[in-house]
Amino acid sequence: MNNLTFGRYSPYDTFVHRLDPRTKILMMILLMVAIFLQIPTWSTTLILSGLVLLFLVIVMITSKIKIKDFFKSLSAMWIMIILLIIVYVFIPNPNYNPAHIVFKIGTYGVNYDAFYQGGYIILRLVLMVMLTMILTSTTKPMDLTYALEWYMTPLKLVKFPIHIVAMTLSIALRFIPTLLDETNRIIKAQASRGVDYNTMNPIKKIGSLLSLIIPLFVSAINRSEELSNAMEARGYDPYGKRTRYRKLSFRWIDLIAFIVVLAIFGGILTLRIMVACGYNVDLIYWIFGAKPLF
Amino acid sequence: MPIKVNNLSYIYLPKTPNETKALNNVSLEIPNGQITAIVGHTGSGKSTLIQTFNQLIKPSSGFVNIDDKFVVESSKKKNKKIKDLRKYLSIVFQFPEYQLFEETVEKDVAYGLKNFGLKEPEAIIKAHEALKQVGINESFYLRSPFELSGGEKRRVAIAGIIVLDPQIIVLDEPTAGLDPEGSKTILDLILSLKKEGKTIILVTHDMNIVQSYCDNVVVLNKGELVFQGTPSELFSTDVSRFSIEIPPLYAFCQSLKQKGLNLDISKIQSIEDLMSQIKEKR
Amino acid sequence: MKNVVVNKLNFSYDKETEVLKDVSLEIEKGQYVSIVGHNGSGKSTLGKLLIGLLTPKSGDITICGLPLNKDNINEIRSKVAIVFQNPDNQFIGATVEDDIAFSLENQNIDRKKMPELIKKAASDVGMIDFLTKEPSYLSGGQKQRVAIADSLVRNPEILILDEATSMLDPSGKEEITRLILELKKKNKDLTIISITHDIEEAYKSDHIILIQNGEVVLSLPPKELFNSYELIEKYHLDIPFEVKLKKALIDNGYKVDEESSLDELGELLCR
Repeated sequence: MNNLTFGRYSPYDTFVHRLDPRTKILMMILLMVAIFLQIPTWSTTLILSGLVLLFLVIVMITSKIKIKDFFKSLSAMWIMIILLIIVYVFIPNPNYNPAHIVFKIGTYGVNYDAFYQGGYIILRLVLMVMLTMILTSTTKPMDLTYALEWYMTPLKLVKFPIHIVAMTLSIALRFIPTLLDETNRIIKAQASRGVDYNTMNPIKKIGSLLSLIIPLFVSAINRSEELSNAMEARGYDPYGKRTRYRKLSFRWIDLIAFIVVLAIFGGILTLRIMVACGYNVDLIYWIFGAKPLF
Repeated sequence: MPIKVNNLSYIYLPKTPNETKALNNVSLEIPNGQITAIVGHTGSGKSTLIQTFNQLIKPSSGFVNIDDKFVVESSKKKNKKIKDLRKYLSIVFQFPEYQLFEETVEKDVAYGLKNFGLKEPEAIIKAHEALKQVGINESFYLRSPFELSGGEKRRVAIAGIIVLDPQIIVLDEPTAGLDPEGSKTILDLILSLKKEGKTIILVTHDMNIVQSYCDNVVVLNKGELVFQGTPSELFSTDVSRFSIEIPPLYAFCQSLKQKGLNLDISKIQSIEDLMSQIKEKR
Repeated sequence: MKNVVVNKLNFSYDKETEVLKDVSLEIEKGQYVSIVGHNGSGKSTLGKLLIGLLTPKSGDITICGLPLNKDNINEIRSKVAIVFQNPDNQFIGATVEDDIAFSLENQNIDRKKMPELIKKAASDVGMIDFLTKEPSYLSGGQKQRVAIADSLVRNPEILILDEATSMLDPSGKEEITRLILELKKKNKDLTIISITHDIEEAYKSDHIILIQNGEVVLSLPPKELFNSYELIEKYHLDIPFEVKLKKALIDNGYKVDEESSLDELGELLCR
């Protein structure tokens, strides 16, 4: 249970931590879109992705996220990365330029393009993981729910109970540590009755999982009943009028951060639009005056 | 000497900023066939200690020797006898009613036996014996455990451990949340287990239980062993620094001692003892 | 003035077993009352009925002059606060301050006034240094303090403690018992109803109501109850240490004043 450290909120007080969670969510979405805008000629895409990567690394350093933790969280993805490379390299793709064949295994030619395409996908994955990690480790889970609630405000028009959804979400978050403790306790109690959770025998495995899941369910239901009593006794009425203690507020630092991210997004978007309009976009050529390598 | 704890240490989350020494060089011995209380306030390391006894936790250093039959130590290699150990020394955790899950009371009690390889008909017969021992009426055997009252659930859960016939039984706060009547039923059950020759280890906050039911008491404070002896020895020393609450009788005796009355508190078991000691002084 | 009046209250969860039978009782404003009884006697059910979490089968409840019904329920809940047994299952906010704020949000209080009210309630229960802490970093006793702060922040007239200390360790119990006595001293008008089976705690209150099998069998001040051996025997009650000691002293020929404290009894013995 101790390896659930990925993206866990770390209580520092950095620039990124201080940003409004709504700004952070919006910026994350903008950057994600930017990452997924593909621009022909691999070299250009790679340079742009590299720039985003550099930007994110700087953000991570300023928000005191340890690069080591980031690599740890990537470690679960290694298998996926290897699989991706195999898929891209060994599955024939008619779009690959036959002139880019590096070497042949039997009659099958391994293509340069496959490596670039595979590498690009992996790079995008890494960038997405970085974005999520930055968001969750600099924002309290509760603040995220407040931000989501704010974004859902338009749904009020169609009578969607956004407040109830937000309350449910925040209570679920509040009880995750409690339920993890409970799980640990039940595992130990059942282990004392001879349950072996590491067994490989599938029938025994189902039995041992039931001995964990049923008590966990029963206890969660008891808890929810007591919790709803406590909420009601303290005057909670889901349909009643309530004020809010927490209020999110945009400040000038949000504006600055937003402008920076918007610039990155805007730059990449402009290039993509230029491509769509038929311009030949090639950063290598623009910068070095050299012809594209591939 | 069934349980020998030797220089036992346990470090929680080692090599992180939250590193804590839950147990620090604890050495103690728990005698056979008696009731030993393990006492200490929340965070004293007492639950960590009992969990090392049947290797739910592996110590960071030191070892626990159980009846010269089992050894729990820090080594990484797999303990092949772990199942036997858990049958020999069983732990009843706090609020054990939360571990019930089978459809019927008798099946739930028999569950442990089946894990240790016993087949259904015998397991059920043994379950009935255990249920009788904890005083659960036969009419409940085929009912769902979730229909029972809190005190009954607790007894069914304890039966689920007794049925394994362990030589050593560890109970963590077995009376927590029960009313005086319910507590007494559980404590009488523990006394009957002692009479059968079992070794009992009782983790508790309740000094009244320590006073009236336990033969020995071990006090842990901040992961260290700070006292080992009999209950009346404990109550005649100054225990305020271990943040445990002694029974009112002993608190009163100690206040008398502070006021200058010369009492031998270790010989006092009741108000009558106190009165006769005062009479002698006159 | 009567703060709580319960008249011929009946309640059952299902058709077979009656949980409360013809319960009638009155509680004076500013009193500290213990409701004592075994698990399953119906005492916790009574607590839930008093704040309208359950609806009685018959009979009526009047709180601070208002009959408890659907129309009054919100007003009554602003006057009555309850602290439950399990510290974990009544902590709603993400942090101590958010949890205290939850009560205020429900009362539609202007958020600009909240920080001050939260700080006051937190310092009343000694949790002012923990405002930004999450529940997993608090002890059971500290969580119950927060639960009491949740109640106090609404400025209630009646505080019900439903076995609020029964899941705490001795130091937690001690913390809460001391806090209650302090609160009582500061606010003479606060009515405290403590549902408990701890006889030592009940002994410290002004009045004891004993419930057995859903019926009120006794309602009298603790001193009167424990002076009567007949009653103690009849209802199988535990005897508080102070009472036992006084009896032993009298049996040994000491002259004991009924009102004297443990400390004074000690002086008497040392003389």
